[in-house]
Amino acid sequence: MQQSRPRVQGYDLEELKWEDIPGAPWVDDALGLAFDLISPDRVEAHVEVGPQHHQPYGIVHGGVYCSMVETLASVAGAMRVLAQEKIVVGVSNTTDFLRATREGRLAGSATPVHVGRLQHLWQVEVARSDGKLAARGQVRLQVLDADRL
Amino acid sequence: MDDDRRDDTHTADLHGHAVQVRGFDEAALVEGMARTTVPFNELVGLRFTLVSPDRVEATLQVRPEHHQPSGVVHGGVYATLVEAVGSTGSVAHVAAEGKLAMGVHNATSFLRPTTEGVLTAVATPIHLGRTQHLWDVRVTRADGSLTAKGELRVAVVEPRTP
Repeated sequence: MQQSRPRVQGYDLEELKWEDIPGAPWVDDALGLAFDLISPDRVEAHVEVGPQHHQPYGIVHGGVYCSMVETLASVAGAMRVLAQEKIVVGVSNTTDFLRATREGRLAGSATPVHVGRLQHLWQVEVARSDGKLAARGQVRLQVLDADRL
Repeated sequence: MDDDRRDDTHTADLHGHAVQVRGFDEAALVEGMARTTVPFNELVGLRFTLVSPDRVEATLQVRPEHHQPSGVVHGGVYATLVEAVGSTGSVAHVAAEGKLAMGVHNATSFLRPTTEGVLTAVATPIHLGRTQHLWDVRVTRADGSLTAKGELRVAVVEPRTP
């Protein structure tokens, strides 16, 4: 999936075969998102902001925050259902942009609001290098059988 | 009315691309929008096709780069389309007044998966207030079916004086 392996807590890596999870160009190349922590109750990942992430005012494009929120929530949800041979698909993404970011590191963290049998709701916070919140989002995920893929 | 509108449509160079423009003063648009390309839109491969007061359109040729691991378009790409067409519509509306517009809230629902083809995003204004705009954005697949639907709130702000 990515070059550097994130810390994993609370999941059995052999069982979940982290290495077999395919990469996603949108996440790995366009966003440059790197995962730092995978655990049932918290998933963390970061993006080093570059000029490629900017909109015309020279600040990070809202689509970058939405994409971070979507990816963090989806990976967090997918890990929770992987052992049950289920997958998750995003059904809605609601992201608020709170502070502008020009450069530095954006650190995202996903925490579960609701993990149900059919749907999950995850909250994702994205903080700037100075620790202040740049964006906050919520993602609804639908749980499906893996053979639906 | 329709004939007048058609006559009013012209092509402007916005963000380094030829875009159909209707109902806006081209000089103000170019001043407000075309000073630079939009790096993230370039990265995504987004192309604007129409900028007008009541409708903004852009297209995206889906490539494997837009996929998530399951081989369908990543949700962040739809949210990015919603963000781009809505905020560009707002920028066009406020450019002539020397104001800035930036997205503050993006709510996008994903309805059908897309693997390939051209996605078309169309933004229409729900509310164009003095300080906030609200846009409805629909993203359709090449077969015309709705793949994502979003709403974007945009804040209109005065540029900071140095």
